[in-house]
Amino acid sequence: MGLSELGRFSEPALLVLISLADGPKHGYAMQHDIAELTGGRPGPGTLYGAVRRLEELGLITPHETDDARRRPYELTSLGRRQLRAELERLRTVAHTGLRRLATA
Amino acid sequence: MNAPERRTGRLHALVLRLYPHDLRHRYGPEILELLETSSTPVRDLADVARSGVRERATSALARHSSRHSSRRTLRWMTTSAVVIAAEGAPLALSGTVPWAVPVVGAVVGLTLTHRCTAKLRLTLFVTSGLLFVYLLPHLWEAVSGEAGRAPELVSTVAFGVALALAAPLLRRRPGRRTAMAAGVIAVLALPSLATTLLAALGHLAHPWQSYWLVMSSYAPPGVDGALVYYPVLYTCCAFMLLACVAPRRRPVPPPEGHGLHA
Repeated sequence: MGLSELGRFSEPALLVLISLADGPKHGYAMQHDIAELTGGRPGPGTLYGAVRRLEELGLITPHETDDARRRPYELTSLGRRQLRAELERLRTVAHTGLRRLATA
Repeated sequence: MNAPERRTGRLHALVLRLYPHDLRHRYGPEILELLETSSTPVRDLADVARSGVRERATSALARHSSRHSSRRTLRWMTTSAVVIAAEGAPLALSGTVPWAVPVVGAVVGLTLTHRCTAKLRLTLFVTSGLLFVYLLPHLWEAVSGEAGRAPELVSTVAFGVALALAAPLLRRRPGRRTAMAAGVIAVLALPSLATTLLAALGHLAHPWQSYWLVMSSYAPPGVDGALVYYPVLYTCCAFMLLACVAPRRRPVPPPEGHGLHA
């Protein structure tokens, strides 16, 4: 099971995983982190759609907290492995594309 | 809280109601937090509304799919019961009901033409296997040297070979309706041909009419009880073959995307 199962919604999910790669974050922090990373801030519906899917897949998990409005999430070990595999795959794809552009 | 804030709060609550209850309960407070601190409130509110509608539609589709699955299981059980009854009734009630076999078989065959699933195929194979168990005593008599069973053995082997040849033909061209129709007619003719062979080898009068006479519950003179069964068994097997090689219905692909977002 990989991120490819998320179909055309894999990009927000990937960005959420990348955002959580350096430690737990709540929704607001994830929004800003992704905005810095990509130049575009995901809307709340988009963000929590990805969060829900990732949680269902067991790739992220919420922290127990008293503040229901600012619940932090963190990567699970499975999520960390999946993120690494997906980033490796993207690196290979990007490398191949750049090489072909250079030789064309 | 002033009046504009109260109005905004009501609007947020209203938009959140677009989500199914469980998701609203789980993620609602977090989404509200982002909406209330948003620097682009209109855009974010539209994003939440769009995601809520999408999620509700996905949830409704999932419920529909679950109900559909229950209906499929019920249909499978019902059809299997009909198949077993169609095969078992002639054996249980002797020559009084053979005429009903083609009628029931036709209904079952037509039903299964578009609905034959893996589970149903298993049912068909098991019940068809039980039919052949019925033939085993006759085979044993033939093998042990009792010459009286030779016509039954020969016609049954010929029927089996013809069925085995017909099955790949039907499977090979499931998309061509003319070829499929010709194959179906050929398979339906096999029981009659096999019965004709059986009657001819048994030196019965009017071999070509034997099948129809037997299937109309009128046993020709000189035909014993076991011979009456064979046309029924051939007919059952032919219908089972048609059902088993019927083209499968293509599964409906799941709706694209299950996220809350566009």
